[in-house]
Amino acid sequence: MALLGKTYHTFSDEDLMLHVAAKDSKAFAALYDRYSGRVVNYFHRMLWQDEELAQDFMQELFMKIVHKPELYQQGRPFKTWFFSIANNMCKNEYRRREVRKGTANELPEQVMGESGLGIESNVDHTEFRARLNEALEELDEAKRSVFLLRYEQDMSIKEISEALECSEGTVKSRLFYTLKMLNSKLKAFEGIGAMLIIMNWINEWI
Amino acid sequence: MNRHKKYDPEDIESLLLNKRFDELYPEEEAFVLEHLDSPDEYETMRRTLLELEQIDWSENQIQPRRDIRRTLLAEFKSERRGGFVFWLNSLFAMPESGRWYQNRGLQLALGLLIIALISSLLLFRPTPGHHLADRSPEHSNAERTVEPISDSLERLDLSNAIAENNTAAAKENAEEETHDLRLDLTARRDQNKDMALETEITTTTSADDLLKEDSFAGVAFDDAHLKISEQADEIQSVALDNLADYTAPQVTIQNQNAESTVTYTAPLSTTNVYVTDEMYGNTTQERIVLSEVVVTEEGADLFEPANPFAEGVSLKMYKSFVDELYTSR
Repeated sequence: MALLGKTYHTFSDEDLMLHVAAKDSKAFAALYDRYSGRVVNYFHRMLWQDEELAQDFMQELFMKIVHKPELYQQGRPFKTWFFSIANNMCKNEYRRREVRKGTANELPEQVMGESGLGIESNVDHTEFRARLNEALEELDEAKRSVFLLRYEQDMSIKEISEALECSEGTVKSRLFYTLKMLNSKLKAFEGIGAMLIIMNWINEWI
Repeated sequence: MNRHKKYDPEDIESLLLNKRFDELYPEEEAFVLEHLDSPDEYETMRRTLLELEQIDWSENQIQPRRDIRRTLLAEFKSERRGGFVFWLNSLFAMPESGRWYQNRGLQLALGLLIIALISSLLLFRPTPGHHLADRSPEHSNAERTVEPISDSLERLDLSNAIAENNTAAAKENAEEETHDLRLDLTARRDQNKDMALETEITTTTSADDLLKEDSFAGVAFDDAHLKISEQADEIQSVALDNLADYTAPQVTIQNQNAESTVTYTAPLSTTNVYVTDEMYGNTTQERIVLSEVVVTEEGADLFEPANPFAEGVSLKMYKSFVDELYTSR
């Protein structure tokens, strides 16, 4: 079937991947445009918000698809497969750093230096998010990946379980304890945050 | 109840997003409190979760570097082309190692040469049917037209034929026979001009059968008064009642009783032998009687219509061979 460039955007991820396996460069470009932004930010959050590292990891991940598209198992949802590879790359990086530095989940000093859960005066969503990012950095890799896949990548419990190759119950459990932990971390922010939410609601009603 | 079913009771996230604590059913409250310390914790978690839901994750996101896209696409296209890239301008370039045998052009040329040699050997390899194939034009000519006896006799070269004989006596005898025969045939040529046998033998065999012919034992002449030589290299006398096989491109038959010898151009074998009225005329009565039985049984129709051997020479095996391969007209 002859395909026009325009039609690639209507293709499912799985169809695009089949064309990639058939050495269709336009399909590869469409797939890249669809996922590069998402995955580079995933790497960014998973890898200590190191942008260079995230860019490198994103390139490495797509390079795997270039050289070994046959690794994709036909019939499996592309998104979960794709993020499972991304997650495994992060795991490997954690292990590598653990060996090198002798400490797991060590954070870059500048990140820790900037952190601090003190109450700020100009609290808003952006501030909440900044605090959240800091709190996320303190999570272990498993909980952080569940959280990011759930809320940032908007994946379902089932998709996350496939991507992380664990049961749905495990995903739910991790998600719950992550929320609980974040809740405790963000408690200092709670009052102001709650006030902000109430103000938003009031604004919506008005 | 329906509303209750909408929530997964094991999914606290759903409860948190959709219900305040005071909206929970008793069983949901019990479930929640198994995992959380108090209703207050439920409410704070709920607010956190709602806040998370409101986050616009697209804000402040990093963008992929543009050069990565270009690099990946270039890599993808080079991957598609495959690993073998052949540059014509490097065909005859000397390799860096300086070893001449690593020159691609030379390797290619040698490869082609070897292939050509092998191909030519295979194409022109001699086969069992090679001789037949080579002689087929000549063969077909000989098959189509049996020359008149007068022409054939002119081509007699008895001296040469007899010269191949092992004995000098035979040679002398042959010369005498040749001389006599020439005289006799010359005389008879005028008399029997109209009787010259022109027999056209057409083949009914395919090329495959011709191959079989080559492997066929040949023609046996069960008649003591025929002498057969193969290509004039060797002359053999056929003893009475002795079946012998002969296959040769050219056969000379010498009727000793008739004191005549005829050389036949038979490209493939004696299957093209034809017999002449001259031979008949020189066959002795004794031999005629001896041969009659055989001819009547097996070979009477071989040389129709003239049938010079009606009372003549028996060609016992010859007939069966000819029956198999040829049809006499």
